[in-house]
Amino acid sequence: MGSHRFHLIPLCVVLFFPFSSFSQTVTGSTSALGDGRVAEWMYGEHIAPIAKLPFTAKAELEMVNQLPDGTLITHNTYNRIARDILGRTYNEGRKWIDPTASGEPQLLRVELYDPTIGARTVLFPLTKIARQWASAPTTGALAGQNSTATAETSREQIGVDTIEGVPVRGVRVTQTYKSGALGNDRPISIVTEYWYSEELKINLLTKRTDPRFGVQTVRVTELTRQEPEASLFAVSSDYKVVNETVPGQQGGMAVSSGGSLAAAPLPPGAFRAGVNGTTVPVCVYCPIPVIPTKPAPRRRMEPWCCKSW
Amino acid sequence: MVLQIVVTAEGQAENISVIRGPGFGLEQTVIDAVRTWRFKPAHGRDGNPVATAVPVEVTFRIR
Repeated sequence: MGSHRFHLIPLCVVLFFPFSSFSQTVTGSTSALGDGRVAEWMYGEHIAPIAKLPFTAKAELEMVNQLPDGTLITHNTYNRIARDILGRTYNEGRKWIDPTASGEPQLLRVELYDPTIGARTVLFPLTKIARQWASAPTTGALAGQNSTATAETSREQIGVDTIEGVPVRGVRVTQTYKSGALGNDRPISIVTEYWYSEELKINLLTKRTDPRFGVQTVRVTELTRQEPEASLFAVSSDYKVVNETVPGQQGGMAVSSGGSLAAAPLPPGAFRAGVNGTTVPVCVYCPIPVIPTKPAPRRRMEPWCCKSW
Repeated sequence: MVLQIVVTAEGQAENISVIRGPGFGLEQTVIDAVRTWRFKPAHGRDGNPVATAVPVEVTFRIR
């Protein structure tokens, strides 16, 4: 029972802010029926919406928790992640499975962010609902930004390495909560190692060791640095789009009444590029527009100095 | 500047709308320039060229 108390804190965050502009994606939960709404969860990979750094990859998530009697409990899942040349991001959330389970973890949600119009969309494939709201862009995923005000935080460089062929630098962040900060009778230390790619502006490996929740790992694999399929960032026509924007509270640009770019009405006879088997047009002549500046009107100099003479 | 354009089956840019613009009245000049762009059109499921709507990020120079 005592260990369950610690799990209530993150659960409340999920319940009260289900559609706020989280910089991280809640990727799933494991909970036992009838256990008093106690659940564990962890963040997945954060993808900063940065243009001109396209990629697709798989984020492999693992949670390993050790019980006081030594029992190890392991759960895994993965999320497909992507970012296109415009900086639009795609981030899945799949159900957790235990290592003995076969088959693919069920896709529960897909989070899309379109920085070009400041719109965040969460797709729920099971109900075919797309919840959408205007949202300010999230900040970049700098390594180890998750410190909290109540913890003493120290940072330590732990070297450089290569993951998926990409150079990364490691940072170890240690957060120490003093006695009493979390109801704890002695200090608690949480150690998180981030292996951050300057080239891609994402963490390629994150390992968090928290005495309350065990070891949580997010590892990016199957990385390809090519433009992902445009259809990943589109809302399929069989989804019902629900605009969740609260008037006056949106950040970034307002979403038009048509919702996202993907949900905007198409001109008659046009298809959405990259969706439902339609390919994407390729530019063959696209010179950079040049805007001439108008020369400033030349001011006629009055010979004031000489008039009085 | 981000536009949505419709690339016709002939590869021309039409129905250009501004998704995010720089303001200062610069949009129209950029739109006029984008109208001159030419594309290899997208193909539908049947393999024939079709008109498609695409988002385009346009960089421009001020001279």
